[in-house]
Parts: sequence; structure tokens; C-alpha cells
Amino acid sequence: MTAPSPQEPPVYLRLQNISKHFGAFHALRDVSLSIRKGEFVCFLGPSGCGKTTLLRAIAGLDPQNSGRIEQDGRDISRLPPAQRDFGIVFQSYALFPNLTAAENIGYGLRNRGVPGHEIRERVERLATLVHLYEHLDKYPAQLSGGQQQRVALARALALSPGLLLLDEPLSALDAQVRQFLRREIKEVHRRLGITTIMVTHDQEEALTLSDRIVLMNHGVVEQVGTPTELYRTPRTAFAAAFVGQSNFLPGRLRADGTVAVNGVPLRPGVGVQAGAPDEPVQVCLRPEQVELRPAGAGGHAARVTDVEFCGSFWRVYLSVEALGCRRLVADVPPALGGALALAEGAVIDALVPDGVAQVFAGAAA
Amino acid sequence: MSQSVRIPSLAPAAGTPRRLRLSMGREDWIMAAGILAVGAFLVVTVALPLLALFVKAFENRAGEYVGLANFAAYFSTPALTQSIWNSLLVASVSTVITVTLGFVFAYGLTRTCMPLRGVLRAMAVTPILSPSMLPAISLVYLFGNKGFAKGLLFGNSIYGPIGIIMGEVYYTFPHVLLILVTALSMADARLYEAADALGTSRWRTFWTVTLPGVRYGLVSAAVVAFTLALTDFGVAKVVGGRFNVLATDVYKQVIGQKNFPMGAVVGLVLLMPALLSFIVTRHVQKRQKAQLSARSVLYAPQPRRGRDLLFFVVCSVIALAIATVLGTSAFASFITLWPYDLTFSLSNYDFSLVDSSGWTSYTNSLVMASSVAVIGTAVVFGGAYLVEKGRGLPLLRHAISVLALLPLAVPGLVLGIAYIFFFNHPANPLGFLMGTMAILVINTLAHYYTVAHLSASTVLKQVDGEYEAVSASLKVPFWRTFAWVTVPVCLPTILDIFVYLFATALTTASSLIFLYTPDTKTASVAVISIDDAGHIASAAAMAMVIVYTSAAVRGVDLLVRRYGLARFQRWRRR
Repeated sequence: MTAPSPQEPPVYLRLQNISKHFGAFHALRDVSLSIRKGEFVCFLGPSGCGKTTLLRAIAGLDPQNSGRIEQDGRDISRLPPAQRDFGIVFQSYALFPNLTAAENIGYGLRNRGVPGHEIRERVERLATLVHLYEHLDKYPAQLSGGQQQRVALARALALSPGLLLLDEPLSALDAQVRQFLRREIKEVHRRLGITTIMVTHDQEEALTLSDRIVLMNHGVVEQVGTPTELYRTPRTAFAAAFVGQSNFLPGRLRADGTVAVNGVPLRPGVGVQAGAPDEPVQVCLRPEQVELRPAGAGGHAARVTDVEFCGSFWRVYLSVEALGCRRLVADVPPALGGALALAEGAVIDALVPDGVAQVFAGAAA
Repeated sequence: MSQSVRIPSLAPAAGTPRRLRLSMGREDWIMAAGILAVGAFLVVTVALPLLALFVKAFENRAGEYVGLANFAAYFSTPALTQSIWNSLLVASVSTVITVTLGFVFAYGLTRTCMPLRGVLRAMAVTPILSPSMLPAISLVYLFGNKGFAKGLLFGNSIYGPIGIIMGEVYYTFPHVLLILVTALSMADARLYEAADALGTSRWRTFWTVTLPGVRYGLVSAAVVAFTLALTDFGVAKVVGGRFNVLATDVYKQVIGQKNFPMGAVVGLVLLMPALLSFIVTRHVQKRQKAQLSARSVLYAPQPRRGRDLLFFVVCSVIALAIATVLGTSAFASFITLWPYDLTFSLSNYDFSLVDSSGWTSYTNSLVMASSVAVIGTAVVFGGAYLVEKGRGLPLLRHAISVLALLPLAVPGLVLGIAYIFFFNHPANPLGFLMGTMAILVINTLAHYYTVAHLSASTVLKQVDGEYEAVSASLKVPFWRTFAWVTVPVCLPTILDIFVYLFATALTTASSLIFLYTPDTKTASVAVISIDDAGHIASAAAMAMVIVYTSAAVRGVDLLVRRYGLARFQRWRRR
């Protein structure tokens, strides 16, 4: 670990070599991670990757088999959940159905023996924060999914915990509500500055919300980085495939540092791993990195096999013989799309600029 | 969990603990103590008595180990082995009759538009209110030596297999009916629409859609009817005459001849078919799941004159027969002397004339049943909560959920003698309980533990599994959330359990017959002893007192549900 630089906040949560197995199944293998105070971190990955298991280990709900967890300088590895410091929102919300929204939010306060008027005051402030004020006296069954989610969020914040854990909080909602609440969660995080971990399988959610993303697969951390880092410089083929769209082309390393794709030399961007010449690699291209031009303007001849209109851009499916690629995806702005007269069967030129492609060791899966 | 299996790929560093344990907070200790207490309760009240029964079967009267000698003696005594066949005969015949009648009745209720379905259903379930001695007493009045319907038996005696079978049919009918109504109402209308669209005849649709759809229900109903009839003691005791069955043999060996080892052998013999049917039921229930998917459309019968009328006539006859049995005891309890002096009289209700306990046995019953209901609801629901939602002690929690199923397989009589052997053992420090009201309460609770436990764990499984996690994160101890959330949410089921325990405790006699003393005699036991002493009218009156009480309890239950509970359940409304 590097010492915190003056402008960077200190590490708040430190996970060291966390492993967890269920029988012979390894849910987490040797996961180590540091999260800074006030950071918004997403655990992202496909289902079964261990992201929820890791969250529940941090909460103490399903303790890890080995490894150490430190929160705010305190070793909490062996503490039962009740002695840790976190608020949690579950996918099901787990609202108490026989209590009103206000009683749900004030649940932890009531147990502490906080006087009634103080509870009401604090509950009202929290309800205002999550825009729920006018629904405080309703029961969960009378609230919409999005409103229930806000009650759960407010309840998790009621005791001012040092750490907020969100376990797929948006996945039970429909698309529009989800987008709206996403901004709301971000706003709450901005206002309170609470260290937040959110588990999600939705890359868009992770990209838009997080300060940093922890990308997980098969119980290990594939990559940790800011959304732009993850998108621009994925460190593994899995990361490139899971975050954003990618084209994967098989290639071979050459002695001069370029990569031969079907014999065509290509100068990759950052992240070229030193490897022996002639080693098989995968070349990863984002759809927007593929340049399309009118036929004869320079590039490889490409035949359009399909075109999808996606509103702010056109998605073009191409067959590029020179690259030995029958399905190359390219995104082009609408203006350019019109100029090229894109249509199924049209022949244009496709260019892969030097210095943009990512290269990963190993043959394509 | 295979935590002992070494997994090389994990390669823990030297000194790393193989399994990290959370330190135990105060909450965890309290929870562990609760789990241990429930486990200990079931071990002491179910497992150990059954073990004592088992051991006793291999000992002689002096308590020495004699191997299989008791079994050899049993199986070489034709008078005793004959009871096995007698029991199987009456249980099988009454099962066939009850399931047939029950199916017709349930079909009428669920698949036809016959009139007065609510009334007919209410009449059909009334046997559940009475102890099993009541139908037998009524049968004696109807078909006995002075019975006015004696001629219907064509010279056969009601004392013996005919009486037992008729009594068991009455006694088991509501249980069978409820199972079959449930099975028949879970029909997917789309199957019938498909059959209709394919031009299938009604008769063929019945055989290819209806019957296969309820086959598990039929098996369950048959198993329940068979087990109840086989292990019931009340009917055979009153109307069995010289026709011996296993249930009366246990009683005769233990109470009559004080031959405890032989009683244990008969008890084990009686336990076998019950265990077998228990296993069959469990097996069937596992396969029965997912009969109806979320996409199913519930079947609603359309009126059809001929069919509806036919079922109305048949079901009315059955319902009237049931009402006649109950009515006979009710009537007989209020007249001076059957059949000579039919004037109204309350003298049969003056129990002090026929039984030294008088009305005390009734107050004993009330004390016993309320204790079982209050203590039992708390123990069962709390226990099920700890099993379902508890943290830690996973093996013990699993053991409890298995042990909680065991009483269902144990006939009351068998549990009763098992208690004698266990609690009367000189080395048992709990021996002081023998002869007290407490032992009756404990025994009855243990006997009916399973059904109550199953309803509790079913409803708890439907409660969100993260409440405990949320309350831990809010620093609220689990018992607060149990009291503030879990109990209110489960209140209707808790009331179900309470009423079930109260009503069954009131009507049961089979296991108490071995455990009561003159001071703790209950009303149901008094029915048997008063009848034994030849005062059948008073026995009918005592049985009716039980019926009035259980009817009152069900009535109060209905009122509470309709007017009381609604106030606490406002949150269920959308």
C-alpha cells in the first residue's frame, strides 16, 4: 500500500486476502482491496462472481473463511454484524411491512431510546433527503417500488453509519425509475460523503455512479480502477468484454512490437504486454475506435452486413476480409452515417488507427 | 459442509485459521441458549421417552435384558397377534369408505355449483370438535341393544368391527375432507379448457385430468385416514366389545395387566405402520410441490343442473348422517332415560353422581388445554423462529427441525406409555413430574408438536430473510425485531397454532389415559371412565361438554379474526 498523499483521503476499509468457500466451491479467492474514505465503489461482475459474497463478508453476515477486514483502522474480521458500523440496503429492501415508512426509517433510533420528537425530526430530515416526505405515514405495501427503495435507503442512513452497503438496490425496478434513483443515490452520496459500496451486475450503473469500480470474476478481482480507466485500459480480455462493447480479433505478436492481424500489422495502444514473438494474442477494439470512410479513401475494404439505428449513433456490422473478420462492430455518428450512405451490402473502407487497440495475451476463447 | 476436506488450491498460509469464527456477542449467546433449550425440550419430551419405550421392549418385568423374548412371547400368543389383523382390517375398510365419501363430498364442494355448499361444509367438519369416543357413544344409542335403528344391522352387533369402522369413518372424515378439498381446488382451468377444445368427454376428462391431478391428495388422505383409524383408541374402547385391536391391547397390557414390557412390544408394533405412513406422506409431499404454477388459472365450476342436484342429494345425505351422530349424543345427554323416558333432563350433566372427579375434570381440561396453547404457541413459534432465522449451531438447528417431525409418526397411546417408562424410571430426575398436570401438558404439546411446528416454519419461510441482517445493521437485537416485526407479521398463523393446540388438547384422550391421576383427570379421560362404569348418558354429556367448548373456541376464533385481528393488520391493505 502506498502512503496516502496529502490530497487523497485516508484508506477507510482495507480487505486483505479474503477467501470464502462453500464446500468445494470457491466464492472468493484471496481478495485484497482498499477503499478510501468517502469513495463510491461498485463491485461489478456477472452473477456468481462473488461480489455479493464479498459485500456480505464486509457486513459480517456471511463471514469469510480467512483474511482480514479493517474498517477505520479497526480490525473487524471477527466482529458479529451488530458490532460493525454499516447501513445496508438489500435487493428485496427488507422493509418491515407492519411499520410505516417513518417507523421503518426510525427503527434503529427507537431501539436506542431516542426521544420521540427527536426521532421524528431526524426521520423527516432523512425523508426530505430522499424525497419521501409526503409518504412517511404510508405502509410499505402502499408505496411504489422506487418509494420503497428510498425508505430502505433512508433507514440505512438513519444511524449515520460510516459505511453504506447497497446490494443490487436498483435491480428490482423498471428502467426509468432505475435511472432516476441512480442520480438520487449519487446525490445522497455527494451530500453526505459517506463511503459507499454498491454491488451491481449492470455496467452502466457502475460506470455512471462509481469513483472506482472493482471488477470481479470467478471469485477474484480482475481489475480495480476508475470508470474511464476500466473502459480505456482494460487489463484483461474479460474486463474489455464486460465493460462496454468490444471487438476481439485474433493476432500474433511481432518482434517490432506490432501485432499481426491476419498478416496485417497493427500498432497497439497502451497495455501491450511484452511477449515472445509469434505468441497468439487477442486484439480488442472498441466500436467507436473503428474509423469508417468512403470506399477508396484508405483502409480495408469492408462490406456492411447490418446497420442499427441507436439514436445518437449508428451501429454498423461489417465483414472485413483483409482482417479475416466477418463481424466487426463500428459505431459512427449520425452525420457520418448519412454521408457514407450506410446500407446492407454497401462497400466502404474501415480503418483501425494505430495506437488505440488493446492487446491481451492468449488465443481467443 | 465439507470444511474438513483439505482443498489444496486454497493453500492457506501457515498459521491461518481454517475457519474464521465470529466472536460471540450477547445476542449470539442468547440465541444459542434458545436453540439449545428447544433442542433439549424435544429430546426430553420426544426422543428419550421413545428410546425408553424401545429399551423396555427388550427387558422383562424385573428390568433385566431379555433380548427378543418379549417379541417371541407376543408373536406366539394368537390372542395378541390376532389384533394386528383386526386393526389392519378395520383401518383399511374405514379408509376406503372415508376416502370414497370424502372425495365425493370434496368434489361436490369444489367442482359443482350445488346449493348450500357453505352449510354442508360446516356440517361435514363438525366431527373435528369432538373426542373420538363421541361417535362410538352415539352408535351405541343408535344401533345398540336398545337402539332404534338396530334393525338396519340385520342382526349384527354394533359392538365389534362394524361399530369401530362406522366410528372411525365419522372421526376421520373431516381430516380426509380438508385434504381433498385442498387438492381439488388446486386445479388448473387451462387443462380443462384444453380437454374441452379437443372434444374430450366429461367422463374421460375426469379420468385423465381430474384424478391424476389429485392423486397425491388421495394418497395423503388415505394415509391420514389409515393412521388415524389404526391408532385411535376412543372408538374401539367404547364400541369394540370383544373385538381386540392394537390400540386397546396396549391399554389392556399396561393398565389392565401391568405387563409393561408386553405393552412396550405392542406399542412398537403399533408404531410401525404409523412410521411407514409417515414416510409415505413425506415422500408424497415432496413430489406434490409446484402443482400450480404462477401462470395457472384457477378452475371455477359452471352450473349444471343434473350434476349439481345429484351431488346436492348425496352430500346432504352424508352431512345429515354426520349431524345425526352428533345430534344423537346431544339429544341423549339431555333426556332422562333412553329410550324409556324421553323427557328433558339435566341430570346427566351432574357428573358428581357418576364420577368422583365430577366437573373438576372439565376445569382440569380447560387448565390443561390453555396451558398447552399458551406455552405451546410460545415454544413452537419461538423454536421454529430460531431454527429458520437463527445464526450459528447449524447442525443442532437441523436436528431440531428433524426431531420436530417425529411426533407426527408417533400415536398418542405409544407416546403415553413411552412417558410412563421414561418418567417413572427411578433414575430420572424429572420423575417428580409424574402425576402432575405438567406431565399432561408436556405430553400433549409433544404429541401435537409437528403440525404446529410445520405451520410456524412455513409462514416464517415466507418472511423476508434479511430482517435479522437489517436489524443487526441498525443495532437492534434480534428479539426486538422478533417482537416488533416477526410476531405481528405472523399473527394469523400464531392464532392458528394457538387454536389448534387448544382444540386438540381438549379432545385428546389416548396418551393421557396413561398419565392422569384422580386429581388431574381431564374431561376426555372422564368420558372413557364414565362410559366404562356404564353411565353412557353421562359419558355422552361429558363428550358434549367438550364439543360445546371446542365449538365456542372456534367461534371466538372467528370473531377475533374478523373484528380483532383486522385492526392490527391494517398494513396488509394496499
